[in-house]
Amino acid sequence: MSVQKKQISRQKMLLSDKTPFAVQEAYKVLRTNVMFSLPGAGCKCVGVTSPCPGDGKSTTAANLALALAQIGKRVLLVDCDMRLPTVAASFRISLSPGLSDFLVGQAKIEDCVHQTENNISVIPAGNIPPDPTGLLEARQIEHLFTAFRKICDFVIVDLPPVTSVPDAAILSKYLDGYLLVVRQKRTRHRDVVQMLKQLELADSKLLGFTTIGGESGKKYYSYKRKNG
Amino acid sequence: MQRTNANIETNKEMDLGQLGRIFLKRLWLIVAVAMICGLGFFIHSKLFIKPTYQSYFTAYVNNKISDTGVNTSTSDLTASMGLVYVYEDIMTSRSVLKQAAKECGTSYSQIAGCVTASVSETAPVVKVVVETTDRKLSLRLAQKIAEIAPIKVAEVVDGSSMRIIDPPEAPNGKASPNSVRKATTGFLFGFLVAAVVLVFRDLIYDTVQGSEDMERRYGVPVIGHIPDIFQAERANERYGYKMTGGDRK
Repeated sequence: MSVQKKQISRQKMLLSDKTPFAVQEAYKVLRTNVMFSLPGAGCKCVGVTSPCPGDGKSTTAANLALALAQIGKRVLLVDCDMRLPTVAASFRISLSPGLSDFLVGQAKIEDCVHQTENNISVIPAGNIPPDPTGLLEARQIEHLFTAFRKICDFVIVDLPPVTSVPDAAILSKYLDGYLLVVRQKRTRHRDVVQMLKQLELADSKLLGFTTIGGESGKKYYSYKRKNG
Repeated sequence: MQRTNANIETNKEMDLGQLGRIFLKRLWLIVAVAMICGLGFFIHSKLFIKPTYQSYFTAYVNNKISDTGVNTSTSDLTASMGLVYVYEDIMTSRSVLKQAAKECGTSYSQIAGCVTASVSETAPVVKVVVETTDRKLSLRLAQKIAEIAPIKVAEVVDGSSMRIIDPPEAPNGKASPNSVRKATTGFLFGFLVAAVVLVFRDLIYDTVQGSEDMERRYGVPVIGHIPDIFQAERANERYGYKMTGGDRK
């Protein structure tokens, strides 16, 4: 698939009025469960990751952010996958300036935040650095998340795959929990086990799994029956 | 929310139960394949396998010629038991079968594999079975062997005799193939092969099957299930306006 087609495909995956009803409802359910998993006042930082690339974590992160914004929450979506960033393309914003540019001191954070038409704020990954892991271990990250918590209700962090690089586990101390994305009939259990072990080593908190793929299932039809 | 103390270590303990669940999940497919195999074997046995017919006789062999033809002592009986395998070989020897085939109007090569003999474990009794695809030939051949064999046995083993206990009778029905047994064999074969293939396929591929699969394996809740967007779109098109979001009347 060409780059342009991939971009169009990613944009199509974002929640909108044209999204099939079953998918919209599914994200609303996910939104509700995430909110209930993080009780209490204050900003909640949720990291979205998966065992392997292509499982759907970036789409899930973006749509979770959109679903939260739909109910009036102040949401910030941060693309921390500095090796294969996709959030900028999904929202049709420029990749740079972004998170990496801020962390190396080449941009101000205000310049990196994009306000989208969906009422969410987005910080793209920025220019791809030579050492993303080193950047994420920088002290500025802590200040950044501290600042985020003051201005947002939710910070959704799109992380790289756990089994590929250690970036996802590095941010565990700044996150209130991880949402793990797996794809039916594609994600292998051995990769899930490896992911859980790495997150366990980082003493990470799990909110739960989200499965992608398959049919919409019974939930939609039960809703139909209730509403006649 | 929980720490990452998911059931990673217990993964191996769940394999047997998982095996059973995989088997039960695919049971309908396994049974379907088994039934198709069984039906295939049945049809094959009915259409492609020629039926065979059996005629047999039993004979009492003796190493001593007496007036009654019966062993008079234990040692005689023991001697007969020892020689009964010799008699078995003589009765199914080439010379006997050649002569019998010639008198039945066929050739030795055609009937060589059709004649078998077996020996009783407790008495000097030999059973000779003739099985061919021709009902009448089976009977005629068995009758001819029953006529020729005693003469040959007496010629070869000095002082021996052979008496027919059950003479050959016309076959009542076909001896083989047993279509029901073939179908059962086919069913079991299909069942076993399908079960092994499907179970090993699931074990080898070892991919996430769904929410229940994840919760059962890891003990971590599944807090979201996002359906495939393309399948959901097709479902929308299939059902028309009813599936469109917000249009609930």
